[in-house]
Amino acid sequence: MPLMAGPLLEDIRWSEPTLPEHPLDAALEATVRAVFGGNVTIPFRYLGRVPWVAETIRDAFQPSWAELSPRLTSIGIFVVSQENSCRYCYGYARAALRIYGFGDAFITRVERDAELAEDDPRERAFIRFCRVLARSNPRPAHAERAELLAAGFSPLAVAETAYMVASYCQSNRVATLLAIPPEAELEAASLVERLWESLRRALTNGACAVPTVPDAPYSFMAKLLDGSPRARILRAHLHGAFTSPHLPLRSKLLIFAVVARTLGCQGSCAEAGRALADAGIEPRELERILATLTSPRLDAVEVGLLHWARDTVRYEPLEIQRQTRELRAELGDERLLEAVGTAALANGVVRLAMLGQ
Amino acid sequence: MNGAAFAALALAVMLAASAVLIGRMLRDGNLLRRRLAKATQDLERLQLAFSRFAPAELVDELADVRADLRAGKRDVAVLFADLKGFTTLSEQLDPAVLVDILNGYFEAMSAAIGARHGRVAKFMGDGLMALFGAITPNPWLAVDAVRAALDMHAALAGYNDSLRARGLPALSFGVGVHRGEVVAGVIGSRALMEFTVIGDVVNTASRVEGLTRLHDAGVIVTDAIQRDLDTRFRVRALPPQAVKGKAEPLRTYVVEGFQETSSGS
Repeated sequence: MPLMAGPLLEDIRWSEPTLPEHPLDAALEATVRAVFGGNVTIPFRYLGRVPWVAETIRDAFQPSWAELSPRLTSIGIFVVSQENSCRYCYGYARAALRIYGFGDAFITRVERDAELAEDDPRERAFIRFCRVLARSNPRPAHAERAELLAAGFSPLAVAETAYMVASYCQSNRVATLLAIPPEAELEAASLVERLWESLRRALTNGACAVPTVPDAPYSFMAKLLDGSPRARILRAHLHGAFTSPHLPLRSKLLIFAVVARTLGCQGSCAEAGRALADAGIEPRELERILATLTSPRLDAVEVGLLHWARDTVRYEPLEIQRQTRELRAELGDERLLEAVGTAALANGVVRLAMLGQ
Repeated sequence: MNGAAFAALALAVMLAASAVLIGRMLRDGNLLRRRLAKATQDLERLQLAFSRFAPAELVDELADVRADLRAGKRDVAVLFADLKGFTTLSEQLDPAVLVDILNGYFEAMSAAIGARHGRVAKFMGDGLMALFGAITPNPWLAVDAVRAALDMHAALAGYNDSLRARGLPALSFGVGVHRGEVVAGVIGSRALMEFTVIGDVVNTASRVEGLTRLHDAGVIVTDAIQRDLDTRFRVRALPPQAVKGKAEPLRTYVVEGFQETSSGS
């Protein structure tokens, strides 16, 4: 069945940034410059308060894939960002496609999900998979995976594609919830400027090392990416999220549980339940919390966090940005940024979990 | 004119002619691109306008004639709301005033429903049907639907204040909510299609809304909804009610209020 695409760039309504700017520390900034060809793109101006969130955005753009080509990942972020109505990422990805030499006709066809019959059947299957997984309505499973395999993708390439969609869904949410301003100069770049940028990126784009870390909740999901360098990246992100001190571990696990419940992923719910049992919330209590999104054991701020987390799964950008600003008044800047990063990571991880179905 | 001069002149003429041809091709190409862009914009404006008549997620499917429009079974909550005594009011008021009152009412109700993850599926005269969980699965559809019903009453109280301030009569209404499996999809003819749901659940929800007049209640829900409501909801059981078209009496409950639990740490 043909799919119709998400909204067009000019149709996405966007508010002012949710947080004031806060610079990265020098060491982290150096790693960002290494990945982004010497640049510190706009989102990083807002992520300095909580380093692990900045690292998740940085690593989404690391060039380290076992089987996915730069062409596919460029198309992937474009398609996923459109599906998630992320004004920042969609505009950035669209500009990047032009920098990398994709023609306007191709970009427009993908954007409008117009008939791609004359294009590569592998790319058609890839684009469809990206849209279906990003939407997760319903959650894709065996049939969608089989379609990619039939199109010639290896099991590892399918796993990396699912992780790519998950990580861009995550980045899109960080950018959307924080209302990151678009890269206006990049989007308006002339042909000469695009050629120069293309040359500069080809000469300078690199990667940065990601450390080996102990297990954290959901670390077992890295096994789905065995053979890919993204397995280590996923583990590092989970460890960073669950060991960061701004929000209690319980709150973060509850965010994951709510996102998992909203997306209908029993496996992801079960993992949250296991970890929450260790944190003092027994399964029955968790079920009551998930059924009502409240509990006498939770304070009012935590209850608000659960309702907000639910709405990060499917949203209209202006509305979720309004809700996030309200949450900022309750949490403060550091805790809000940690909440944004956690909800974004949860949305990514739960979508990745479809690989295990 | 010698041969070299003639060759140079011929070359100049050919270059000039080529430049004209290339210029014309580029101009025609630009014209075609502009026309295509305008046609695309017109289609997108049509889709935007149409989205006012159907849930936005489904507008794209309706615009794409190749799309698979097969319906599917969904677990949904169905909410019916109907104004009381509006027929009498409609006979007393100027049509323009009547429509203005109705539109303001529907605007307020739609906002209350949308804020609780519901969608108005159709307006029927002075009534409306809203759905929860019809387009995207919703694990909290019963709670959302009942909270929406309560929010609708609060919103109507505010709207009535504005009506009274304008010297217009206040409105009152009843809400009925039921839950179950329906067939959901885009249904109709090529000339007119709508997203709707079909099934006994819809009929029952409508009947339950009708009970609000009998019991002078604001919100009545069925057993299927009540069992998903937690202790924050104040509910009162009604006597089993015989309902047209149903062999067994319907077990229903008045929802009298909602109190958020006090949170601890």
